[in-house]
Amino acid sequence: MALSQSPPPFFRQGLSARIKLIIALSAAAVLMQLDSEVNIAKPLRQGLSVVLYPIAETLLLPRDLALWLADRLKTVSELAAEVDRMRDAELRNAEMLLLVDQVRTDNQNLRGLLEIRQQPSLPSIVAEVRAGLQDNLSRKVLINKGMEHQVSVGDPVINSQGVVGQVSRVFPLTSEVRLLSDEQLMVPIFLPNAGIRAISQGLGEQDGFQIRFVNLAAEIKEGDLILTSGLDGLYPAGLAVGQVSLVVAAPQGQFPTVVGRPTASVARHKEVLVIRRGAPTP
Amino acid sequence: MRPQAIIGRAPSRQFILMSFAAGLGFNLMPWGPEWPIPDLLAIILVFWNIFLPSRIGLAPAWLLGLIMDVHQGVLLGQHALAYSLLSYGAITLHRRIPDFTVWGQMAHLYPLFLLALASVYLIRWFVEGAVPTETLLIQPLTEAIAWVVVSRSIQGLLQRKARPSRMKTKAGATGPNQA
Repeated sequence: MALSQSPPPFFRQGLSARIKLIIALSAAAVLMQLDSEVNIAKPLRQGLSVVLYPIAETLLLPRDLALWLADRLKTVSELAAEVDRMRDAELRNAEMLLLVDQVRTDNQNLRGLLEIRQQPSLPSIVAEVRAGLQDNLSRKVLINKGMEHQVSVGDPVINSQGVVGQVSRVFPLTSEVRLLSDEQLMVPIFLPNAGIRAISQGLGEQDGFQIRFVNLAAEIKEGDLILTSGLDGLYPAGLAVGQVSLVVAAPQGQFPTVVGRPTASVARHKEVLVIRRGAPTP
Repeated sequence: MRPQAIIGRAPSRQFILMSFAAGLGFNLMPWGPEWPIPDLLAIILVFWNIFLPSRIGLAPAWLLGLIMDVHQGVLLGQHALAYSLLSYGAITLHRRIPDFTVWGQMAHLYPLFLLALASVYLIRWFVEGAVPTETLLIQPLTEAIAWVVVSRSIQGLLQRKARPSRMKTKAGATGPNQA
């Protein structure tokens, strides 16, 4: 062809292209089988992620710089408005905090009286969302805390607005978080208005999740609050998960279609909290 | 009659490796799932399969696929499979494609990229139950468009390499552009 300087070999042609293709395809198939049975790729991935970490961070530098600049270039009036808003929020929060403190001691005393196991305070790690993974079939983001910071697979991830998702893979310096809208993530939930428990499962494509296995008799309305039920012992009970955004009644005897929208938006709130499950509990 | 554009110098091993590294670097960037970002590594692979099939065949394709699998954290071997199919298709078409216009080349490559992506989606569907989205149809289109840009720029780079002034500096003589 145009770019090769020497003619193709006349006698030693090697295997035919079709045979090569068959070999490549079967090798790939064998590898897939092996990988699904014994996780052979794990050490490979761990190593590669450490090598790629500085490269990925370098590639993200221009974006971070742009974001930083955009942050800096706010006008004075905007900043003043923000300070006002925050002061307002702080005042309101102070009141709430006082109340929470009171309720917590009350609760502890009551629990002590009733001899229920004390709820441990949850150790957590602050992390930053670095990027969304480029995978059209899943909803995952990368955070900048990993094995080094004692993040482990299965840890719940939340932010100030509610549940974000769950750690799905941990690398030495980073970890991968499956979002609520990912098809593979299910969270046990509780709908206080209807008073029922159910399970949320991500929709995959859109940003949202469906609520599965709801009680057929329950009256669910759009706008209903969704909280974690804490039944799996993984997510602390009572965290905000989302709101019901769509209810479609089903024919007799079938589950209705209920769709929820997460309250925690990941794109806008870049700081998240990883709740350490692996920490010793009393 | 072959268009003048495809006559260039044989690229060095270094040049090919650098092109793959660039494609890999592009793919490693965390783009996020919102946009159907073309798989640049696949496009560069197809470029070499078409213009240099005697050197870049199925083996590099398979290995590059493996790297993508490790990076994306998906079941090992699915990109290896997809890139092998892609490579085989590109080598099969390598005598036809350079003779076509831009539109003809895109018409050849769209189904090829579609096939490669579909094989990945099919495996994901079997293994994880992930339902394919409309990206399956759109991403090959962006790849076919990106192909035009990528093939033009690599050819441009190769022709730039072929300029006599650059050949002189390579031989050791001090040219004007070495300062």
